[in-house]
Amino acid sequence: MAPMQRNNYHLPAFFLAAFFLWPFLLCAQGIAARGGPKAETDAEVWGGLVYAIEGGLSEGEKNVAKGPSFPVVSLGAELEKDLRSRLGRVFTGRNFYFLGEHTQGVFKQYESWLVPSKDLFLKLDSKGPVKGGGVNLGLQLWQDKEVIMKTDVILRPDSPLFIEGPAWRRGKLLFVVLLKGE
Amino acid sequence: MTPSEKSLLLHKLIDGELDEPEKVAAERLLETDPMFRAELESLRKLGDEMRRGFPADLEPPSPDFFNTRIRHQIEEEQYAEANRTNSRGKELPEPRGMRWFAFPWAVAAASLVVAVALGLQDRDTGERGLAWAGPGGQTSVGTTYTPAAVVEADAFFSDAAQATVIRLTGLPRIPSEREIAGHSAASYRPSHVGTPVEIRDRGGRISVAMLSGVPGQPPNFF
Amino acid sequence: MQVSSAQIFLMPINLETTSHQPADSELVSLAAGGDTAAFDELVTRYRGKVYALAMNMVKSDADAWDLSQEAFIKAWKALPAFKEESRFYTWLYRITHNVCYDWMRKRRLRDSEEFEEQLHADSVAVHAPTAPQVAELPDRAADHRELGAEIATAINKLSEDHRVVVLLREVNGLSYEEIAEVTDASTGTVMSRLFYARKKLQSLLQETYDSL
Repeated sequence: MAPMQRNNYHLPAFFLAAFFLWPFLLCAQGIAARGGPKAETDAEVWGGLVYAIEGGLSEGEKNVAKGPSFPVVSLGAELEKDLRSRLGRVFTGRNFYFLGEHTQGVFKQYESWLVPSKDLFLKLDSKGPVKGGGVNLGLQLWQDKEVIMKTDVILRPDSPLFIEGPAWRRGKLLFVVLLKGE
Repeated sequence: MTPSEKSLLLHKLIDGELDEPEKVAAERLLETDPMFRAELESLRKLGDEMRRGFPADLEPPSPDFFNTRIRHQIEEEQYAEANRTNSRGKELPEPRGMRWFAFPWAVAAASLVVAVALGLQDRDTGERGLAWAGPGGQTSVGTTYTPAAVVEADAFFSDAAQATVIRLTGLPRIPSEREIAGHSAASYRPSHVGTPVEIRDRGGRISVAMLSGVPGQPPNFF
Repeated sequence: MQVSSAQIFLMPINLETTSHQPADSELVSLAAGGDTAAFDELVTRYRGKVYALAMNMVKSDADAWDLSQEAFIKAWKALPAFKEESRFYTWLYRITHNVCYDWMRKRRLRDSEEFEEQLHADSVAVHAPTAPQVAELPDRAADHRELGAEIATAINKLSEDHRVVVLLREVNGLSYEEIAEVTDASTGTVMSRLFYARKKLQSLLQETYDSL
């Protein structure tokens, strides 16, 4: 009988505690679900890794441009067409195959990474929005474990940045950066 | 003299902060107190080791870029300040181009010489060195720096493509047998220090987990 | 190492190109009036010291590089308010210290415990490649390497306040008064922190000294 009495005594306390604590538990769950610190962003950028070659892909290369969603680029058909056209005016006589893409918010206070591929990727450090639209960025281009280039860029809307990277197979790897949303 | 007074005297002695009466007291202790002498020796050794392990003067990597970048930021500040000043008074037209340069004509002329000398105009006719970078609405590149001495970065604006281009030359070719794996990734949130960032594809599946932010270390993928 | 060629022509050289080295006060005065070439000379003169201080505080060359830059930019902006009674380098150290301190505080806000653990875990390895190397006899060099690693580990076990004070004194050679100015503390606090830091270091290193 004694244990039962003890249980009966604690039952109302349990419900009382649950009543007062549930808002905190919900908050904690919400924070946990977000999976990281809150982070404001200065801009949203799109980064694409492009294989630029003369002619088409050989049979052996055809698996190259196949990722989970490739060759469909998430920019939308019109923007993708425009991008391909602009690439063609700089890198004349080449065809462009998208190997990877990543759309990423640029955090105000934290470093951000634009990783269309873990073989070639960018670190972005925001120095804030700029007058007239755009964002001031410190960029580091990484290839594996090495920084291969550092630069400061003011990225403007509708004004892509093309980075001509290393040679690979029959062509070059290009890193394309676009400011989204404006 | 109490032990704590002795300790204080010892620390001031090693730091050269003794006044005249303290100097006399310290000299007397050095002559008569072997423990005091041993402690002094121990602290000197500690200081020597610290100076050996932690440099007081260490040239930063790429010192020329270090200065150049600071100059650019100062010029940006000056430019912004000039704009603010102008906007307070008579409305002036927005300067066209030369966003990065305080002395546009001198720089443009000098850069022309350099651009020709370095063969920057060997591409299609629409390309120009950044010294001619156009209106403020275009993406512009400040300074570029390549850690490897054999790698060069040339930045230019392509009128034909209306795009800004950084061309890296001298990079080692990636071996043909290597696969370059890409994905289509959506925006991630920052992670806590020490925990990996999870970069997910548009279906919500984790395609890359990346650990970064460890001081002095490159990011790790797994 | 390459810097864009077009950037070379940005700054006019106003300084006299004689063997005369202008004093800090002269350059500071010119820079405060907007002379960027004079400030550039100050950057060249002090970048090594500022970078080393940042490196000793944050223990990451990439971050130290960026924070040193930030310190110089802040110094440029604050130059008109610089008071002649301070020595320029002490003032610059103070700015650098504050910039690094703020940066570390922000990092700590992200995750305080993990941050400290990371610093402690990685500090020795991070220091190794950037510390200047002096040729030594192999056996002595091995001893010093071991001791150097122990010192780095021991220093990183100190609190931030103690670490900075002992480094500013022993490595940078600042006086109590100068350290007080840099860290915004009283000289009494500086002495007390220094005393504690050395005692703690001695106790942490005792075992290593005995074994060498």
